[in-house]
Amino acid sequence: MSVVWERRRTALRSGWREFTAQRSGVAGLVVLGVAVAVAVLGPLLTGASALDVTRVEAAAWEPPGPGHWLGTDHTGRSVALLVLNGTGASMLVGLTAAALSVAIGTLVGIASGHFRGWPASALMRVTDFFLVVPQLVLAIALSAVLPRGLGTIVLAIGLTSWPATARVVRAQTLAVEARPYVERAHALGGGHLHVIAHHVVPAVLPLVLVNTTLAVASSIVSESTLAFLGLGDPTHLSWGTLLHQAQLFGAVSKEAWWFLLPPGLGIMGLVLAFTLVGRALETVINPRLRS
Amino acid sequence: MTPDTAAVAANSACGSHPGSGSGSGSDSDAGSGSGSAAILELRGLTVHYGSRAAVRDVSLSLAEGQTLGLAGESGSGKTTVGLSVLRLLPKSASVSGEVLLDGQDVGAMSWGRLRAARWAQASVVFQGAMHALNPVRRVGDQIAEPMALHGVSGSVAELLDQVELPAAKARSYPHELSGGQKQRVMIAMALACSPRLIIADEPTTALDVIVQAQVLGLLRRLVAERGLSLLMISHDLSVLTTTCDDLAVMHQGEIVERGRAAEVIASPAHPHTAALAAAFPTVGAPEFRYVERCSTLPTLLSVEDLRVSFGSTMAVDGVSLEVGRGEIVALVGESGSGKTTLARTIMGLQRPSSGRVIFDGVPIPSGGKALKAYRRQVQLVLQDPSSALNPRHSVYEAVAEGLRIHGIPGDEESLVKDAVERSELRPAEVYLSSLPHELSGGQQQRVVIAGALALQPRLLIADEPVASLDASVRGEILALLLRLRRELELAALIITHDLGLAWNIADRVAVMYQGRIVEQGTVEQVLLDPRHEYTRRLLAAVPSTTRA
Amino acid sequence: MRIAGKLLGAGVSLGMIVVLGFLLFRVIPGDPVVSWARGRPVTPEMLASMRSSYGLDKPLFVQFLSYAGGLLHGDMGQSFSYNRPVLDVIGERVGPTLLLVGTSTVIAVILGLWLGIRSAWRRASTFDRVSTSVALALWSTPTFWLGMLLMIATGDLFPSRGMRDTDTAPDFVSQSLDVAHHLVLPSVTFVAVVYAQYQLVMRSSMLEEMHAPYLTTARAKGLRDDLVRRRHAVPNALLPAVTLVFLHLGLVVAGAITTETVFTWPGLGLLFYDALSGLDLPLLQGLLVVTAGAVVVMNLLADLLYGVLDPRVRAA
Repeated sequence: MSVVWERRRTALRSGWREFTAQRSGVAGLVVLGVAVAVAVLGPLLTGASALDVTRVEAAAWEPPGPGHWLGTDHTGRSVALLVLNGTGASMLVGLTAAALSVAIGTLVGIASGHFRGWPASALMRVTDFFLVVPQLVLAIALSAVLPRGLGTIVLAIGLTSWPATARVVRAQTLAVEARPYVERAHALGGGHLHVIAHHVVPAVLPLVLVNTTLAVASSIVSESTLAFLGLGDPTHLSWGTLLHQAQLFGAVSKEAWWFLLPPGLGIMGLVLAFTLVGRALETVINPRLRS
Repeated sequence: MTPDTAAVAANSACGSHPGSGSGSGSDSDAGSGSGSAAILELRGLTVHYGSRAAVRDVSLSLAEGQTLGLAGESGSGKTTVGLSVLRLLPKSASVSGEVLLDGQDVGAMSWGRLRAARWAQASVVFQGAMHALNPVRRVGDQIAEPMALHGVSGSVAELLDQVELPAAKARSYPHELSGGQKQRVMIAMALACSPRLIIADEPTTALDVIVQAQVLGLLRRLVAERGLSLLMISHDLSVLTTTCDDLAVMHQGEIVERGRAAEVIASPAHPHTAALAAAFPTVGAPEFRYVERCSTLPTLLSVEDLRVSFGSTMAVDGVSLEVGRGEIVALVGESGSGKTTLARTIMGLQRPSSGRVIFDGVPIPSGGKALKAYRRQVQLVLQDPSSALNPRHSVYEAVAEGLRIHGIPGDEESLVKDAVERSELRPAEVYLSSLPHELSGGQQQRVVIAGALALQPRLLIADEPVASLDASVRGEILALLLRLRRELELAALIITHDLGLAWNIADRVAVMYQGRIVEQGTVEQVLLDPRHEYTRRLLAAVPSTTRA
Repeated sequence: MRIAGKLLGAGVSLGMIVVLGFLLFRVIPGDPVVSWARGRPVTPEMLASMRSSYGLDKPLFVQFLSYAGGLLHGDMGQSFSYNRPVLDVIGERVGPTLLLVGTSTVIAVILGLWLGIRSAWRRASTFDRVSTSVALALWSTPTFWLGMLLMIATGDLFPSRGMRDTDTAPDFVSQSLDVAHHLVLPSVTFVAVVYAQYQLVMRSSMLEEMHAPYLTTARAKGLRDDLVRRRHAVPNALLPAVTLVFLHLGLVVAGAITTETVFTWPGLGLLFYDALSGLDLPLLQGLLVVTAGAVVVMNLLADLLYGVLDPRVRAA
């Protein structure tokens, strides 16, 4: 068995080499590392009092300057500290929602790709339906009727964004099932479980990994959009809720660019980082994409 | 003998134009060279992809009206040679040496000059069954495209008529045409600008034998009528010898042998040529018959009036067939004849609509544990070993897969090793941790066979077991099958389109056509004295390397 | 046969949307009136009368029948906050959305496809690198944020609120110019975020075709490089790209909601936001059914169009 592990280690190493050959992917990975560090360390550095509206002393809408190097918001809180603190919530929602969505998508994708008969085609029909129906509209509807909170946001995003993964996984499952080695496995006497566990899942996993990173990216955007529309969790600061407040309290008319720019750049940077990592991974698992 | 007369007839059509350039074609304009000058000359052509040399120092020349076959296995560099004539190689290829087309160096041409030369001086017949035709444009437009581009007048209808297609087919899209029709369209397209040289790259691969014979006949006729020069590239020596006067054999990027086709085949000087030649047996020739015995054997498998339908189409229509213990039966038919469906049904992978499959006196179970146990006895060997093995599984895992599924007791490792060595991968330790892509096609097929042997089956169903293998390893795999039959009394049902394969190793032959078995009997009965009209047509269409 | 199947499929999808609208707004919230009343000064009597006027005191099954029956007659109920039929409220907002989404989508599709084709054909060139990076960055940008930044950055150059000024002369030309002037910022925002996906999709679709054997055939015929691209590669690459573009129509809807909210463009997207802030559940339900239904219908049209464009599908 040590041979198997040796081979896996070699495969991992060559995959890593392939990944690091792509500068954009490496850049994305570095940004992700920084973001994780900020998300973990941010709340520790600031302490609770700095963001307590009743205890801030600075004036509202103060432009960046020596005291507050990213200025202050409508209540006089430091934008820099707000953004640092928002990192965690944005990331947490992005990751959990993506995990939920990819889990559902993978299960549905494999099931509808592997099995035949009407349950599979019904499942496919449902996937196609949810793929077409505008995801944001469904997410808005869900978060509107459920009680406000991070959990609702995660559910709203996770439950509406799985069809994209399901579609990709299903296509890959069908491709694997059409390979003669699956026919050979059936001929050897293998059943559904054997084929799924030994042939389909290992072939689908790399794709699921890529999809997860891309799903995190789109979940973060979805979270910020829902929060911007006022559906966010009022008790947890995220970059989206910051932008919602900026819109609500007239940051645009006050031309308070310092309140707008940092959270938006944060979202963009994080999303871009996940996307770049996902695309680099995609290149690793699909040699046809290499130049 | 039918196949040989066909070959002789073919030769006379081709042989009436020796390579002297006496072609009566009126379209030979006064070129730069005289009639005897080479229309195509390669001088020391070498092509590298990165550090790997695909073609090494190849020199060839092709005179006006000459037909030259370029033979070689996959990866021998023959296609690279073909593409380099019109400078069609991808950017990653670095080319040295000279390619002289009508005396002009293609490599030194400007882009404009090169574009003008393409198709007008030399055109290519690609493998039409693949996507060599644009799938979303009408074939008529695709044929007319080079004429408009090079300012040549002509009519698509006339060209289609030349390739024996009705003019109405011009309005068809490629997917609406059969493989043979697509290939005819490719030929019509190649003739559009009346070039003097045609390069045909595997023009009949993936076509059924009868269609292949028609397309080859057409190509031969057009080349002769128009006095064209032909460079034909193929892995199939028999196809080349029925079409070309001269033959060059490539191996690992080099030309290892060249000469008159008949002489090269009759007395190959290079061992590689000999191995290639052996892969295209002459049906009826005793030196290609590897088995002798044919005593009556007790029945192992019997299929009784089996029918399988998909919707309204009857894929298998009342088939009865028997395979005895240790007997090798060849099931011969063209694609779409229902032979693969029949095999899947015998394996229990496909449910029959009616009829029975009886194995060792017991009807095969329809599901559950009993079916699983049955599958131990009957094993499948698929056509393309590279895709029949999971690319992520090592040889060990691939061979052990069946053992694990059936939970076979005993020391797994020694069982695996035993099976691997039985299929002649020795010593087994060397191969166990290899991944499929590290093995050659022949080795991969041995792994598939080892995976089947590990379960100690009594019947092997082999679907085109050597069709996708290089010619030189074909003989080894066939010898392995014969040895397993001798040592393990392993019976085999071999599904193939290749009558030569049946002649090589089968005891009995069943010919399948449109879901029915039209003729069956011993190999000698069926192949030497065919009763059914279809069997005769099939035999007549087989290209043969033997020349009168 | 194919068309009949597609029509049937779209019909089933529309039915599923109706059921979904019911589930989301009548079943999950438990009592929609209570969620509506959250944070409002209402007496229990008011709640009870609302319940009976919306039929919420009846069993779910009966509620579904009356809801579905109403939909068939174009009755989507009464909006809480506008106190008018939902369908009327939605109806008057369709025009502005069509104007914004229509213009922007046309620009985005043309821009995206063109950039995608060019960058795939000259793969790994500077053009490819720059345009793909820009597309990725824009694709990662929240629409509403970009809109707000654009507003600050352009200052008073373009109007940033509403669709027309009140003091514009009533004649057609001045009105049109005024609307066009108002349209600039929202449509730039919209295009910026939406075109990127078209470019990325077209690029990868082109890359798939780059090694197709029929391109070698075309080159062997002596075609110029740009003719090989235009006549052979693009027609083949366009088809899968078009499918994906239509599959992603939901993103257009999302873009419309956020863009209209930022620029207070009086269309369906802004109505969504208003319904959301006022928790006007009947209106939200109506919007869900209408937008999702519109997307399903658009997809059906795309499917039918695809059949006309691709001979292989036509035959099937």
